[in-house]
Amino acid sequence: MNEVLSTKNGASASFSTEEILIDLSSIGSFENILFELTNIIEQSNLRGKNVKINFGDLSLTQNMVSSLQSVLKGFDISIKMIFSSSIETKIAAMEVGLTVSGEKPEIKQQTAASDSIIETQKDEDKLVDAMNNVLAGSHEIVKENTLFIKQNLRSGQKLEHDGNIVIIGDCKAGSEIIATGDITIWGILGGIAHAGSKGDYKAKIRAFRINAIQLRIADLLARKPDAIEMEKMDKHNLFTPEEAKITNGEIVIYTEY
Amino acid sequence: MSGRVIVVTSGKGGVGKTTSTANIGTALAKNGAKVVMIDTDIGLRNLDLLMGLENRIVYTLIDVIEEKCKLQQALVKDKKNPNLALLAAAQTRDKSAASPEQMVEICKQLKEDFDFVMVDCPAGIEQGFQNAIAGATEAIIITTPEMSAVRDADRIIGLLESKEDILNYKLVLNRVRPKMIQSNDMLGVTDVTDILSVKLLGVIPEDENIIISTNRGEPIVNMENTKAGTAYMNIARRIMGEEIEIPDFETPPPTFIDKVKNFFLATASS
Amino acid sequence: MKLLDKKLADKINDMISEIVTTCNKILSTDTKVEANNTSFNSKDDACNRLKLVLMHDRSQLSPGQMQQMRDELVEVISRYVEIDRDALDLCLEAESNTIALVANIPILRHK
Repeated sequence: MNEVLSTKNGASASFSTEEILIDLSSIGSFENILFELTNIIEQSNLRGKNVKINFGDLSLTQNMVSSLQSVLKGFDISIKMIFSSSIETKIAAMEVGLTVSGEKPEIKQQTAASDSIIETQKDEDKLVDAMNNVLAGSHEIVKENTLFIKQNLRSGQKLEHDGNIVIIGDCKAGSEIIATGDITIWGILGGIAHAGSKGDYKAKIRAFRINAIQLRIADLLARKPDAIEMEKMDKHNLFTPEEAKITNGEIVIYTEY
Repeated sequence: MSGRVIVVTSGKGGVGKTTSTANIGTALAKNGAKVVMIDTDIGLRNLDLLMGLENRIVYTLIDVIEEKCKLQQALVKDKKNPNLALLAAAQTRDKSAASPEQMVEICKQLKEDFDFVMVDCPAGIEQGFQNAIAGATEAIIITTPEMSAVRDADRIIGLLESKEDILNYKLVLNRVRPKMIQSNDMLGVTDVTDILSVKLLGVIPEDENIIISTNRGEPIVNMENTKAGTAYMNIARRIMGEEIEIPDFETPPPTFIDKVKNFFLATASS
Repeated sequence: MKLLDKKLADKINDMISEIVTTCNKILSTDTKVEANNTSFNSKDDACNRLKLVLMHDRSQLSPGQMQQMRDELVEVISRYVEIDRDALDLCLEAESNTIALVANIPILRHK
């Protein structure tokens, strides 16, 4: 059972055995957010806890996010993840090193969509269905919503966004990028990239060099070969932009357009 | 079937917990046991790298805990040995994402299907450690003949002793340099076991091949004729109940002069 | 017969050790290493330091607490007998698996 604490202005904090989610999506301004947060902290024992915060569509600057972070730190509370549908807030949170998600938060969410990535890899019937869907355009996703980020993504950082993601910088091994649309990286992709995460088989992943441990497009998966390709490792200065997309039910990396 | 849940722990970081988990796990599987290894170092996982399985991980321990996938889906089979599987830690989360109760439940499910559940514990004695030891009934403590590592091992032993579920624990002394022990410049095997008053499971000599095996993502027990590989194979056989003597690293091998001496003495007394 | 054998063995032993020392003198680098090892034995240092630090760790007494206990003990004992405060020796000693608190308190005179 989740325990929920609500304030009169519509902010709430839900406690489950695993996590604490503070929902501030209905609060309109930064000042009110500070006020509601202190209210919630006063009414519940959050000391030493990790919390997830949902800001809804509110735009926050990097200064605001980092001051929130330091206020919470004063109470010995650390932010585990931030949910936001605002691109400004997402970028601000990324820049102060927080994990960001564009999805609507639910405590203990169960997603059936990506239930069996590996199993469907060879499931031909499903693939034929999926390809037909692509042809029929039934999995069309609105592609205007693009998250633009100018920084390197390092191990342990995870970026989720409903739309396309453009990153100016490298994505190191151990980082994870999940987008419902395309992923474009102006740099080297070394971590895990999942494009078209809600089932868009037309989604693409582009980077100066795709050196990813795993690539996922919709519910398909491709992994880096076990043997290290020395040829690729040696030429540090030569970049040939690469693009990964689904061809004949497989993820294929193309080096020429 | 009810398998054994063994946690590999040390307190101090960098003494070879993950290397030992990978090698003991692989060695047990090579001897025919069904083995699953769990990496509980959430946020700083490495067991997948040592096993060369980093490109196969789709779901992690946390996905299982959060019921995003079934336990079976998250198990990654080893490249060579079908008896060996890995349950990886999440890289983009932290230690508070799991609780001891959840670990107990996962270990309980896994020991239905496996002979051995090897739990790789993170460094430290905080929540990650509590999670890792939660489901275990046996423990292997890894230490090296260095003061800091031995001190931390003592702390770990104290914590393990206070936990009723841990029925037995044994020590593996890693990165031993026989020459330094013989010249009295390194704590010896008996020094460490005496100080810690703990039973010894095995001694791993320092071996450069460990670095090579890590580079290749291939546990050293899969390499032919290595000192460390043989030592890990022997540890696995001891865990499975065989009696194998632990070699003596303390007395120096007879020098040429000793040999001459012995020869003279032998001929003189005959 | 046996006695003779033993004498012979001893002689051979002496002879060999003499040869070894002469060899060592010639190969001067060898003797240096040996000298280093005998004069400085870092393993024993490590053993002793570790034993001491572990005794404190296991007893969960910090040096500060030890000092406080010492002060309080002195205070209590001083009520009954006059003691040499500076010579008072309080330490932890380990015997196999148990730890003992050992105090050596020189009494100057009865009150």
